[in-house]
Amino acid sequence: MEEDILTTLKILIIGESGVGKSSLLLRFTDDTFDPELAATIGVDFKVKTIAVDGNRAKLAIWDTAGQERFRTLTPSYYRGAQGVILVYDVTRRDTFAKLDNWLNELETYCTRNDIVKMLVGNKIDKENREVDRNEGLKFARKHSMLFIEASAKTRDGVQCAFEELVEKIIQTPGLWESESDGKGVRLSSEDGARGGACGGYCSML
Amino acid sequence: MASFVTEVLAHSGRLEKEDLGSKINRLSRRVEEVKGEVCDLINKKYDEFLPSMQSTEDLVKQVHGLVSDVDFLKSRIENEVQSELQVAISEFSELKQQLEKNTVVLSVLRQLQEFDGAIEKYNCALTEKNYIAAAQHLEKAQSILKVLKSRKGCELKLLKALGIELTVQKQNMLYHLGEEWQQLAVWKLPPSTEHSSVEMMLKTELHLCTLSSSEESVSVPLLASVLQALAILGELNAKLKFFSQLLLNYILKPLVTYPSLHAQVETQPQGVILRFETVETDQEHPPPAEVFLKLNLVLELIHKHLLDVPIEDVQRGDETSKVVLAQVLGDMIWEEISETIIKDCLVYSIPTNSTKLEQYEEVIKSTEEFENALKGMKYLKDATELLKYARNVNAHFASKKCQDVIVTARNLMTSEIHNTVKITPDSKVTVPKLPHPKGSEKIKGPKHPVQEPPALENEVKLGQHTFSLPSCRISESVEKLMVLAYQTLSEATASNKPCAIQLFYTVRNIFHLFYDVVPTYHKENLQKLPQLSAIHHNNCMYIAHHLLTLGHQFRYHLPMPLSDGAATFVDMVPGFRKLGTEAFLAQMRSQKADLLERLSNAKNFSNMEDEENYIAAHKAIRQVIHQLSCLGKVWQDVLPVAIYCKAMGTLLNTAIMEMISKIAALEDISTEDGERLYTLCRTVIEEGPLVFSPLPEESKNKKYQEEVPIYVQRWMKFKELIIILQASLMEIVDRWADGKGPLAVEFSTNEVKSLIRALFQNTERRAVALARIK
Repeated sequence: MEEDILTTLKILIIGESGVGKSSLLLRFTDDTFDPELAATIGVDFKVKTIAVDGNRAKLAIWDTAGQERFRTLTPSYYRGAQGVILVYDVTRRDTFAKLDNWLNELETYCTRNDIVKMLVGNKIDKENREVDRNEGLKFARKHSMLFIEASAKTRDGVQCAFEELVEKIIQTPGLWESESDGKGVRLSSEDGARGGACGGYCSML
Repeated sequence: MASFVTEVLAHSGRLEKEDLGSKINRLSRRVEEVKGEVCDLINKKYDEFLPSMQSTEDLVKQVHGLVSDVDFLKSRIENEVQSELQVAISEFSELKQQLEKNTVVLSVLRQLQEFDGAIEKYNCALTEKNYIAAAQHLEKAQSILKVLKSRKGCELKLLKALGIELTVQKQNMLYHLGEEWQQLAVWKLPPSTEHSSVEMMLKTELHLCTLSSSEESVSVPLLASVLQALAILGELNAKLKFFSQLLLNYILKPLVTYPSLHAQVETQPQGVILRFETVETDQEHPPPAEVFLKLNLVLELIHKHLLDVPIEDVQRGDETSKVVLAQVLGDMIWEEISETIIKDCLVYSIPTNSTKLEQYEEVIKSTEEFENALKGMKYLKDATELLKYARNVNAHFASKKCQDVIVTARNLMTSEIHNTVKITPDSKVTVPKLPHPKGSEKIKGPKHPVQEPPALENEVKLGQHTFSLPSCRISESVEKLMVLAYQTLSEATASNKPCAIQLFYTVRNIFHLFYDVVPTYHKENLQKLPQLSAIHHNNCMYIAHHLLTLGHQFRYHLPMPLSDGAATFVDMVPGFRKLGTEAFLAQMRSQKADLLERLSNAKNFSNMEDEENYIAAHKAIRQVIHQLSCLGKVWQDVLPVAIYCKAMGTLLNTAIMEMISKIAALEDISTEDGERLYTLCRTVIEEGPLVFSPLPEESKNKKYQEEVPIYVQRWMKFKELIIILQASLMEIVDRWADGKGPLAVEFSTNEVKSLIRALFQNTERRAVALARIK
């Protein structure tokens, strides 16, 4: 089963505290929902294999803590990330307003420029919406991000969000291939079989 | 032609003939003339010149004879008259010398007569007990003798005899005067020489005879005249010196030293008696005013009966011998008595508080009065030591104050550290209200018009306590020390310039002292007791925090060199921070060493299957947790929260790093081993965070326990280790996630591979998994 995996992608979920980052992840990986989910401490990590356009990709998903007090830990998690899911709560305008800060932090810490960004407006199941869909869309366009509205509770848009992100990453040339290239000396023959990931040659660095 | 020549020749011959005739005629005439002339001349010469010449020569001969006569006479006169003149001159000078000698003898005789008269008058006066006159005469005689002696070549024998007589008379008079003096001023002294107790002092008495010299009804008291006479004879100082010493040691000094001692004056027909009496007082040191009063009484008495020679009496004598007795005595005792007054009385009257400083004006006043009274009695001319001392009260006050402050500060520094008070950002040292510095009002006024730029304010505001010291506990004594520093500085602002400067530097000295005294004095406890080193750390930070602004708060209230920027404590801030940090870091190092020591008993966490090893490791872990929780308790509420978490986090990190390195180094971990290692690590993961309890309210500590990953650097690594200990190969590979998972962040490829090899048996699946770790 491992054999047909195209690549492993590092995905980061960031956003203000309480916007539902961990819920989105749990819905995506375990298809569960817990309305009383405790705040994430430090960081959480899940692995999930996903098939997009007939390609299988393994996602190493980092779910960061939104709380300010854990911010000092997060910078190290940005390293090597290929995709980022930036989440806000459509029922809390303040979480939308803070998006600039998050983009700024992302800019500061991520190690590559072509990282694929996906903006997710969560909790669309709730009635007291404060941020209009168009506002989110506008913001996403402005910063050339993918955009989707979702609900971890009702499953709406969750799977789609991840799939679209992965699709975009795979479509982005150099983002994931070069990643495998830069990995150093490859000696085992298995690696070469991994469908063009390293182009069937060994690079000596 | 020939005819012509013959003609010519004929002519010439004829011509010559004619010419010769005339010429001879003329010549003969001429000869006749010359014959006459020669004849005349010869006549003239022999008849007229020769006889006159003869007579002239005769005259010359006569003149020569006369000249020789004159010369002869002249030489005779010179020889004879000059020798006679010399004789006459020497005769005259001899006569003159004789005259001079006679004059000298005459004056000597007159002086001798005067001397005799003076001695006679002196004898007369002495028998009449008119000492002043006697002394004056004797003095006169002496001066005459001196004049006589200054001449050379006089009859030495006589002078010698006179000198002896004079000396005898003088000694005689001195003896008489001494006798009188002894009768007139009688001392009764305590038997023992030491005059330490008040009881002894009570036995001291001074009798002064006030009778006038009996025969003559002069207004001068006998005693005074005796003294005056002594003064004239130049023997006063020796006598008075002795008297002044007694007066000082037995009367004046005790009066200054013992507050209970009072002088009492008893008047009797023959004189006055000065003695002591005691009055019960509970004062340790007499107030200056009282001392001045007592001294004044004694000195007035002595002045009245002993020294007060009426002015006209003094003036009657020779102008040069005018001596003011009081001044002589004053010169002898003043230095010592003023010193005693300052040392035993004024020093204790210096106030300890600047508010009492104003009341001191009274003391200054009474001092001035005392000195004026002494000047009135002519004891003093212009000496003002006491007043100067009293006036200088500010300087004395400053010295005393500084001394007190330093002593208090030192006592605070050596008192217990562990009596603490809680410091919160709201707590403040109560600084006395300082008046607005004078200049500030003016600057504010017209220069800045009311129009202030309104929009410069930042929307985002700093917290109210951004620059505050975080809440923590400090020693009570240090808080008091700070209050003392503030008080002293505000006292300085209210003082005059030299005093203010001295006080300011005393405050600086307090901190210098702290820097040196505290680490030394409490050295052992600071090393032994973690709580104390934490408190000491806080103390230092607290002081440093205040030192930052201390100078600025008082700067503009202090005098010139200080207000110009010298009034600062900022230079001490780094030193204090370092002091606190170093003490605490030393404690941290010792705690760290302790933790590692305990973990060293865990047998490297190998062979946990073995019950004994497991128990040892388990015990080591329990000890580590215990030690940490003890530290967590003693530092709770003491250290500022941030420091607390950092310190605890560092120590816990030390422990888990040690565990990680030991476990990661294991080559073989059986299933049983893995289980037990997991249990041990689980204990740390579960109980480790619980040692974080910076606040006394247990409910508020949860936040800090959650934040353990922030404070403990390797916490995540430790967590990954635990996951590995329990995980399947698949799970490990997933957490590695091609180097993109958390396992890859915390562990190196080799570490993970080594752990996999230790945990799993060599199978195909293991080889596949190992291959994926890269």
